[in-house]
Amino acid sequence: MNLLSDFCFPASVAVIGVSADTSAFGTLYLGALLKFGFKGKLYPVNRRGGSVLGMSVYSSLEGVPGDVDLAVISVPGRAVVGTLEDCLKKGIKTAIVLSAGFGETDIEGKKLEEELAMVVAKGIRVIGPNCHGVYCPRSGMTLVPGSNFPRESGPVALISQSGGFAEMIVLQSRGIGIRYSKVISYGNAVDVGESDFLEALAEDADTKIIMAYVEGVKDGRRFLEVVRRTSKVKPVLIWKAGLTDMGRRAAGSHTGSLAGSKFLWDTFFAQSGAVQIGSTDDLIDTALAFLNLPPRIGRRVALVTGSGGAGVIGSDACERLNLSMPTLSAEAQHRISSLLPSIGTSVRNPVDLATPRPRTSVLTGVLEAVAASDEIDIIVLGRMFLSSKGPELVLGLKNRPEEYREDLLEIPLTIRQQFGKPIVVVLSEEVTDREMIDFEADRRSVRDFYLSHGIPVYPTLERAVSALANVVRYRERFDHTSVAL
Amino acid sequence: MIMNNIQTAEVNFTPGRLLTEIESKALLKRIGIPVVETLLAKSKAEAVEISRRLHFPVVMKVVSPDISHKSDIGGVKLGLRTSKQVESAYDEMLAIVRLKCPEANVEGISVQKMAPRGLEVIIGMARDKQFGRFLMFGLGGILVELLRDVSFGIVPLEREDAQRMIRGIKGYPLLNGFRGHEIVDLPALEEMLLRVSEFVDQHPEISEIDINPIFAYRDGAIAVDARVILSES
Repeated sequence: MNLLSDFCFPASVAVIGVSADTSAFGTLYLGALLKFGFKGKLYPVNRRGGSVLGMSVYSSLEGVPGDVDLAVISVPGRAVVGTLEDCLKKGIKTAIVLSAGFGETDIEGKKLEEELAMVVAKGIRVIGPNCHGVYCPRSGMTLVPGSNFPRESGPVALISQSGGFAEMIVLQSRGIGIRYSKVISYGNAVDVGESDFLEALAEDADTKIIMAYVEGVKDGRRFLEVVRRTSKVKPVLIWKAGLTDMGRRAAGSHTGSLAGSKFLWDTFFAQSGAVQIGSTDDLIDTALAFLNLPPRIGRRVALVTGSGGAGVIGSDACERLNLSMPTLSAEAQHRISSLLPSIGTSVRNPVDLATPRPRTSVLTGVLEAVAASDEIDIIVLGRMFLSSKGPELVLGLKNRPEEYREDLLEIPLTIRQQFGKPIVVVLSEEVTDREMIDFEADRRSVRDFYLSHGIPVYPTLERAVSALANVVRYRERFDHTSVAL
Repeated sequence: MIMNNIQTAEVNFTPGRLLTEIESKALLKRIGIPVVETLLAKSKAEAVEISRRLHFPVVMKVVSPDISHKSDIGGVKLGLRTSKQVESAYDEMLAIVRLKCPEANVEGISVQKMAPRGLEVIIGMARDKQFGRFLMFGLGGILVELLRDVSFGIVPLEREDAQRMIRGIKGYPLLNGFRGHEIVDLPALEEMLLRVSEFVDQHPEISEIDINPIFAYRDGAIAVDARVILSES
C-alpha cells in the first residue's frame, strides 16, 4: 500500500457519523468536503438514515453500494471500535478517526485506545483518533473546518498532532503564498504516525519541504533515523512542543503524548539535522525562506537599513544566531560614502542610509556596491519605504521633489538579477492604528509584489534573520548541489 | 569486534546485577575498549604475585557488592610501589572494612597497574522512555560533578555524532591543546563512543554503563574504572 495515496487520494469516502445537527463534527466534515470540492464519491452514513446537506444518508455501511476506499469516522468514542469492525467487514482498508475520547482522557479512554489498536491489527490502517483529517488540494480532500482552504497545491507538506494548529498554519501562511501538497492532522497516532508520514513524504515528488508539529513520538529511535534520512533529501522543520512542565502536562491531555526530556530532544535535533522550530512565526518564516532562497547560500550578511537602530538590532540578531556581518571592503565603503552624507550614516556594515526613503540613485548605488562585494552572500534590506505611498501615509511627506516620488520597488529585483545575490526584505508594520489601515494595505501589496518575485519578506529584522539562520544552518550541513528546490 | 554472545565465564549475568569493576572491564575489553587490566586477589600472596606480574606501581581496591563508595572508607590505595607496600595495604584495607562495614561481604582485593595520569573524561550510557539508549560524554573528575559539562548522543551513533559529542562540551579546548594542555587522541575517544553505542544497541541486557574515569593521552585512551548494570529482565 501507499500511505499517501490511500489517505489523500481515495476515489470514494464514507463519512460515518453524520447527523441532522449541522454543527456536529461529522456533518461539518461532510460539508467541508462538499464545499471544497472533493472529486470522488461521497457516502454519508448514520444508522438513523434520512438526509443531510441534500444527500441521502445510508443507514449502514453494508448498504453502501460499491467499494469504499476510505472511511472517515465521527461517531462517539465508545462506538469507534464497532464501526471499525464494520469497515473490516465491508473490506475497507483505510480509515480516519476524527472522534476523541481516547488516550488523551482517562484510564477508560486509554483502554479504548488499546482496543482500537487491536482492531487495527486485524488489517485496517488508521489515522487518528482525535484528529481533523487530511488536506490535499489535488484530490479535494480537506480538514474540518477547511472548506475555505486554498485550492492550489504547493510544495510544502505539514504533519500535525493538533488539528486546530494545522488549520491555523494553513490559514496564516496563505496570505504569504505558502501552498501545500498535503496536510495531515494525525492526533493520537494509534496506528500510522509521524515516522510513517515522514518516510512517505520523503519520497513524495509533490513535497519539497516538510513541516511537523509534534507533541510526542511513539518510537524516538525510529523517528531519529527517519528524520535523519529525510533531512538529507529535503528540509524537515520540526516544532517539538511540550518541553516545559506545563507544556508536558498539556500534551498529555491533548494527544495523550509522552513529551519527553528537553536535553534529549536537543540532542535529537543536533543528530538528525532537522530544523528546530520554536514558534508559529518561526515555522512559517522558515518555510518562506526555504521556498524563496537559493539552495546555495552563505552566512555572510550585509545589512542595509534606513535607520541606525535597525542596523544595531539586525547586527545583534545576526551575531546571536551565528551569521556573520563582515566589514565591507575599502572599495565598497568608498563607493557608498560617495553617495551618502557623511554625518548620521554608516558605510561599514550595517550600512545606514539614515533615511527610510532614500533617493532612487542612492539606493541603487549602495545596493550595487554591496552586491558587488565578494565578502557578502546575502543582503537584508531593513526599515525602508519601497513604495511611493508609504512615506506619504506614515511620515506625512507630500509634495516632495519628483525624485522622491518614484517607487523604489523594482530596485531589489534588478540588483538580485544583476549580481545573483539573494535579497531579503523587511517591511515593518509601521502603524497599527485602525485609522491607518491604508498604510497596512499598501505594505501588503508591496509584500505581495516581492513574494510573487521570490523575495522573502518579513515584518521584523529579528524574524528575517532567524529564518535566514535556519536556512543557512541546514544548507551548510546538507550541501545539495543536485537537489533544486 | 563485538561478540554476539557476551556470556563469558568471567561475568555473572544475573538480571539487574551491578557488575564488579573486574567484570565490567572484562566486558569492555571484549568489545575492544582499552581497559587497565584488573585482577582479583584472594590472599596477600596473590596480591603480591599479581602486582609483580602487572608491574609496580599498582592500585588496590576492596571488592564488595555492599560497598559502593570504596574510597570514602579507605577501601582504595594508590601508588603502591613495592611488595611490602602491597602486603601492608592488603591488611589495612581488610581491617578498615571490618571496622567500618562489618556486615559487608568482601570478595577480595582488586589489583591493577597504576595508569599514568591523563586528561580525565567519562562516557556513560542510560535509557530514556522515548528515545531508548543514549550516551553521555563529559570531562571527568570533579568537573563533571561541579559543572555538569556533558553532551549527549542517541544510539545508534554515527561517527559524526561522536565527533559532535566530543566537540560539544564547553571544556573541549582542554582536549584540544588549550594553554599548553596536551592535545589528546580524539579519534580514540570517538572510537570508544562508537563501540559502546554499537555494543548496547545489540545488547538489551545492558541497562547502564558508567566508564569513569577514562584517561585520555596524546596517543590513545584507556578506561581506568567502569561500572555496568544489567537490565532487570
